[in-house]
Amino acid sequence: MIDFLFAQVESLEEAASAEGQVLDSVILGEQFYFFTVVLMWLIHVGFMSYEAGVVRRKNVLATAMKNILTIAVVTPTFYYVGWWIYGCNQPGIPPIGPNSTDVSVVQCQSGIPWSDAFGPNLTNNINLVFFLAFLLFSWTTASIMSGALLERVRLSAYLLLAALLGSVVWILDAAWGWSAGGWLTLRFGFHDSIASGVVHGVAGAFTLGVLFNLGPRIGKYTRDGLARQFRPQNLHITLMGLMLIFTGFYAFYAACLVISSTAFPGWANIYLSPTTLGSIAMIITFGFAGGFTGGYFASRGDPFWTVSGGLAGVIGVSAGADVYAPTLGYLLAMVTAALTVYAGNWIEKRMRVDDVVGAVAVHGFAGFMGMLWVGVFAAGYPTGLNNVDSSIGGQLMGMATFLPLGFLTGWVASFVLKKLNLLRVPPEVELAGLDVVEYEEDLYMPDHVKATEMMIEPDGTLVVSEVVLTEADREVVR
Amino acid sequence: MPAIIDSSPSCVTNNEGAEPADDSLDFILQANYEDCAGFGTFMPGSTYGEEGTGAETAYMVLTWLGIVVTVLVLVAWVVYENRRLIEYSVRGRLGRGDEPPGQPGIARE
Repeated sequence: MIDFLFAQVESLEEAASAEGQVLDSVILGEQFYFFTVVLMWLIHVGFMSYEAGVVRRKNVLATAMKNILTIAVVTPTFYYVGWWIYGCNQPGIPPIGPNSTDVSVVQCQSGIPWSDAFGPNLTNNINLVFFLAFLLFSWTTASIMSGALLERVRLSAYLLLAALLGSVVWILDAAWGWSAGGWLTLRFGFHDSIASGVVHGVAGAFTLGVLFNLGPRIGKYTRDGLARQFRPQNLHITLMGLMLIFTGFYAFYAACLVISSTAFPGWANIYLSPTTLGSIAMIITFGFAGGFTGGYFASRGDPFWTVSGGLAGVIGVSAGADVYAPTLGYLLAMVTAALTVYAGNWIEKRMRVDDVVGAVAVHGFAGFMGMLWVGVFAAGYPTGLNNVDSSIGGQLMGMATFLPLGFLTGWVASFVLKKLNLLRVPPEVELAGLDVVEYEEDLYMPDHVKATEMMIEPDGTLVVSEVVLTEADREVVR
Repeated sequence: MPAIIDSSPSCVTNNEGAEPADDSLDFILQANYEDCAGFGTFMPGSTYGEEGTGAETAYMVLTWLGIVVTVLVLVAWVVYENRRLIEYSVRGRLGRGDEPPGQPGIARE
């Protein structure tokens, strides 16, 4: 009898201990995602600084405000629409392939904005912080487009496009290919663990579609179609912005993992396959190293492309960051960054697309390369609830899905805005600068000496912008 | 004393002024919430052991209010900025004797 009682007490203690461990694990996860969210704000500080530095002085305030207001628009739209899209649309429309109903139902229930899981809920510590991590991804996705459209897009047009990209388009592809139960994952083993294509590739494709309708800045191209360069107002701020983005990227990478201290090995990728935080941190670091190197040599030491190469390198290795060896990550990042430099120049000079920060190349091209690299170098890793191996076929299927999804939605949405005369600021406003018209104030003190605005002709000659822009303005069709 | 709007769900019990609190030895005073897992303002209130529940009328109304406000804000942004840009543009073009730009929301003189 006494033995029986002791056994009962022991079993109760064990149960209490197990319950305590689960609670500890949940609280650990809650804190983990919370701090990734805090650190991911640095990405947006970085985007703001980067873009405000790269524009001409007459557009600094408008540029910074555009970045900040991304948060004002994407946050509510993602809450009301985006999380539902992610949780409730993983099987696709119509549902394709085998599906786990259990996972879908639970996720869907947590995704509707009128769910109990969106308020204080003592049985669900994770949903809100996980939602916030995804929200920060959404801000990032929208901000990727932001830089490409600088100096001529309307704030309101950008905000509408940001809401569409950040709260609908990217999260739909995430539901399909960046979840354990998405149809691309379940049927084709599509593998994009840290979102090379899901975030960056799709944002780049969307941006390209918008740029086709937006057109270049006045004076960007000569009559012969050769590209001029506008001088950035503060290159130091631009480089610092990129470094802030890099810092925040570590949190972005970390937030792409699932944490559970009660399950071995404590970490899983977004497809719930095991990995470690250290392994992905290694790949991001080697990705930067390889990316800087590739960017430097491909651009012959150009500072913009050297630093952007770091970003392209990381994006290029993100899809397989959970399984890559450091050397493979280093080499792939180097190659991706080098190719991105060529892609960026081709987009600007041959396609004559005025992408102010090279976002289509750095995010779009590198993102799609990242998906491809997994098919070439990391086939055979079981992915998703059906344990389908990653393969070149699965990766190509993902690319073939994401490219039209991103490009066509961006193109159609911007085409509609263009037809309504709501996409681009009038030429007078563009020439005067957005700051004075949108905000009616000068960012600087009255006695602050203003440097004459200069630009670089295709042959490398430095000229006063006013002469070129006045000439170009005469050719603008009003 | 009741607040102007009592938005707490019915699973939250109100034992105001209990002295000492029933669970004062516990760091978190949860006696009033022991039947309630989810308890946000206007939420229906969910209980332990069940999956998260959908909303009842008040919370649904609140949510849709938020959705409508979000849409209105986006529209307002477009209209407000459009007027501002066109006003500036019209001033410049009329000064040069050019036609004012055709834009939605602005009547031509």
